[in-house]
Amino acid sequence: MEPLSDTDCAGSTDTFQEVKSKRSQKRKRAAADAEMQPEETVAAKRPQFPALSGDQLAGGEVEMRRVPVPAHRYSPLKENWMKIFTPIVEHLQLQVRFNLKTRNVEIKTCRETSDIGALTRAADFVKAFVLGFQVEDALALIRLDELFLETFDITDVKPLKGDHLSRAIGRIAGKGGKTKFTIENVTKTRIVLADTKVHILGSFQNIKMARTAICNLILGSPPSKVYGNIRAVASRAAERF
Amino acid sequence: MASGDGSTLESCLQLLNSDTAHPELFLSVQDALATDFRSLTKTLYDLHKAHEPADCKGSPLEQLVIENFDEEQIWQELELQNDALLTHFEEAVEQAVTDDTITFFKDTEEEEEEEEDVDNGEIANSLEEESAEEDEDDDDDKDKEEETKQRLKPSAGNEDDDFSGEDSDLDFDVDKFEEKNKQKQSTAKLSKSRSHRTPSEVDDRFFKLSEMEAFLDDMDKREGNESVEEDIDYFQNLPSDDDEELTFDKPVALTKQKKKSSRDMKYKDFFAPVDAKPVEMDPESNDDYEGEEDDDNELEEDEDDMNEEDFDMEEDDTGDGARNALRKVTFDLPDDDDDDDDSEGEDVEDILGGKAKNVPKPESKSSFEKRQEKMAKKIEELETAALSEKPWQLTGEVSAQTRPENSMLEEDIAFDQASRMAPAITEETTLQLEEIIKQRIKDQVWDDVVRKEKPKEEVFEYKKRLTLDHEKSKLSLAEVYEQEYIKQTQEKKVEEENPAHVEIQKLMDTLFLKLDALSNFHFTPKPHVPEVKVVSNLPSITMEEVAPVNASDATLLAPEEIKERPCFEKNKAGDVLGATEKTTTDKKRERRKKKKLKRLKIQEREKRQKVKEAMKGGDEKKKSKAEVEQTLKKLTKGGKAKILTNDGMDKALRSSQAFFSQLQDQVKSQIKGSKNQTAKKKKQKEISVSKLKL
Repeated sequence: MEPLSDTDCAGSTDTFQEVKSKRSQKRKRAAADAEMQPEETVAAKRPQFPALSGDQLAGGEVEMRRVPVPAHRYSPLKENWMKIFTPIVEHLQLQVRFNLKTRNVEIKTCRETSDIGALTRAADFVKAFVLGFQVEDALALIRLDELFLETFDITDVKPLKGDHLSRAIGRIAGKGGKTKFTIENVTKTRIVLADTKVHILGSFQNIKMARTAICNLILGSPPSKVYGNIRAVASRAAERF
Repeated sequence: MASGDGSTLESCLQLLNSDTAHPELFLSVQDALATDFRSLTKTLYDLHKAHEPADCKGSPLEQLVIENFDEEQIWQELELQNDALLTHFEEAVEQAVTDDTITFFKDTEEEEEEEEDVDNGEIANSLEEESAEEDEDDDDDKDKEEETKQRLKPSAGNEDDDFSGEDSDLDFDVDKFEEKNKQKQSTAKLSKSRSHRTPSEVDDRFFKLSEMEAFLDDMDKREGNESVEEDIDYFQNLPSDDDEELTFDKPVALTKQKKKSSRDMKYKDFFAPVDAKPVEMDPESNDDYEGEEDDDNELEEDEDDMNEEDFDMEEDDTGDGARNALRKVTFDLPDDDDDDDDSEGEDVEDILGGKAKNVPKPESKSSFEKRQEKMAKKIEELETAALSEKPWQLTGEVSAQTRPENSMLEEDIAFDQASRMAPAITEETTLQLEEIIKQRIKDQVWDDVVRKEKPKEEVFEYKKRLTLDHEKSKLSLAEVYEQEYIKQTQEKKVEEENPAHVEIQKLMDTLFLKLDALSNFHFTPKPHVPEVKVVSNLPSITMEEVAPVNASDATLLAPEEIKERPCFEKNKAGDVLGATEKTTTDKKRERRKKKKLKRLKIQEREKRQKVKEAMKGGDEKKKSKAEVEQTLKKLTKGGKAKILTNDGMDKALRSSQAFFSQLQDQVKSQIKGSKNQTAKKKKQKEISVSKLKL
């Protein structure tokens, strides 16, 4: 996003002092170049500092994140390792390794890291994969900023036990995963149903929609009704934007 | 030297006399006389200056300079002299006033004293006398003023307290001096002669200058005599010019007017009458009041008073009356007239039993009486009004019948209107409207009604929009969002393309409009094609687009169109009859009809078949299964033939022998049975043949 100062005060730097808008503080490498120009035109009142690189922002220290991998995700991790570490290392400029002894994926910043938020995103990406999402779906976390991951338990919604619980899980999944796919498609989210836990990946509004649908299913509504509801909500949301 | 002075003065006087012998000359500018006057002024000034006593210092100018000086400058020189001496004269006058040795009782004495004081008094007076003749129709005003001023200066010592150094009014001084002269001349003049006052210009109906002065003199004398007395008698008749009582000390007054004590003074003595009725005024009695007023004020502020009165006095008598009318205080009574009523009031009349008091006095009644009369009259009026019927304006709700015709037009009514009045259409409003219209036309801003279109959205379309995909999506989440983003950014592109379409559409519309205009003027309609309309017998509620106000079960088709009545053409009046309603004739009729129809059908069918067989020729085609069955059916129907079925008799059918043996057996048994009945046998035989179970 361009800073506002660029477009507002085109040539009238004499009368106006360009004040850098706070949004220019966002860590975008692309905008860094554009920022340099208006900074030069700022009057001598403001001290000018060059942009810090990522590791300098952290205070010159190396930060590390650890993501534990459960056993059942071990082999999928092994299979998809290439697809996992390539974007982290190349696009985010981080260092990543899998600690075999502790069974953790460790991600570390280095000198080349320019973006301060890269580490968090990489950690989220790995975590999403570990939870059960596909690599391509989890990759969206790196590419898009406003995707979130939500987890809740089925028993949080309604205290179910035994068969009821199983039936609830069955309702959520549907025959051949039909219901789950339907919800995913309509609300543009990804859902992982792991025993009694439900993980949803998507943007905030969409997570809300999907969550509502799943909760309705848990509470016992038939899938057709849930389809109708989510369709209505999704169409309204689509119209708005 | 006195003699020298006297001679010069004499010569000056002579010169003056000669110059002013013909006052009509002064209507035009007389330069020669002006120079004479100037030289006269100079000589007199020099003369005076020579004799100036040492203690009072006039102006530093020893001589009056007149060469190459214009009037204004000469005047200023004189003024220098006069101002300087003014204070001196004032002091002298004061001294003279307070001086006990000098008394003012007698005019003659005064005059004598005055004479003593004066150096050139006589001459000055005589000079003044003559100057008095020269009136203000003189064009050379300034010269005149100079001269009078100069003459005043030596005679300033003359002045009483009446005119202490004032010289603003020419006439006034002249008057006084003339008076003094006359007094001097006629020493034996006493009171009565005062009546002949010389008219001054300030005199009018009320005020006589001479009388005022006389009164002042009297008062001073009295004051001198009565200064011993401490208390003042308030009810004493105050002395006036005309009052003869004053002159018991010295006969001074000159009254030809009747005297009135102060208690008897009435309003009309002082003020002019009301415009309607001019009451006889006593001008002298008015003067009386004015004179008193003057006396009171004059001791303090002479000059101002003089000026005011001069100003006042210059008005005419009529003006004076108007002014007095303004001064008059009027009560806002309905009748301000001095009418003398015959009846002062009913009550009073009754009480007094007659018109005892109704004799109007020859003179107007006292003000109190008048007021009382008016009040009583008013009271009477109010009472009659209260007792009588109220006018229609005051009686509650009034309809048109109760009030006189068109009486509302004369009334000023105030009422509130709840509703907003229609806007008054004036030229301005129409102009405004036209302005707005013109502006709208220029801006091409029309208020055209936009056709509203109901957006038809069917449920099907709505569902199409969001297809529920039950399968796992092939795109990953990232790609999904990517696609959405692209769609959003590309929306702008799409919108940009459409304007081209829009423009094309617009151009086409205009083109077609023009074409239509060309062709539609000679419009030939298309030939009418009978329209085939399919009407389905659905409930009309689905056929109509707009929701009906009330749902109805009515169908589009009429009952006759649904089902034709039986024998529609022949039996139009007939009703459909139910099964129990039919009579035997009806039943029979129906049966006949049915049979007829059936017969026709069969005949047609056979005809067709024959035609078909004939066409086919001699081919013994194997008949189709259906046809075979049909023939079988036909044959077995009437009971004529029976289809042989395998009912345990199979063997018999298989061979002819078996068949015939069975037949034989059967016949034998029958013969045995029916030997008796020969007639029946035959029949039976016939029947049994047909009825053989095979």
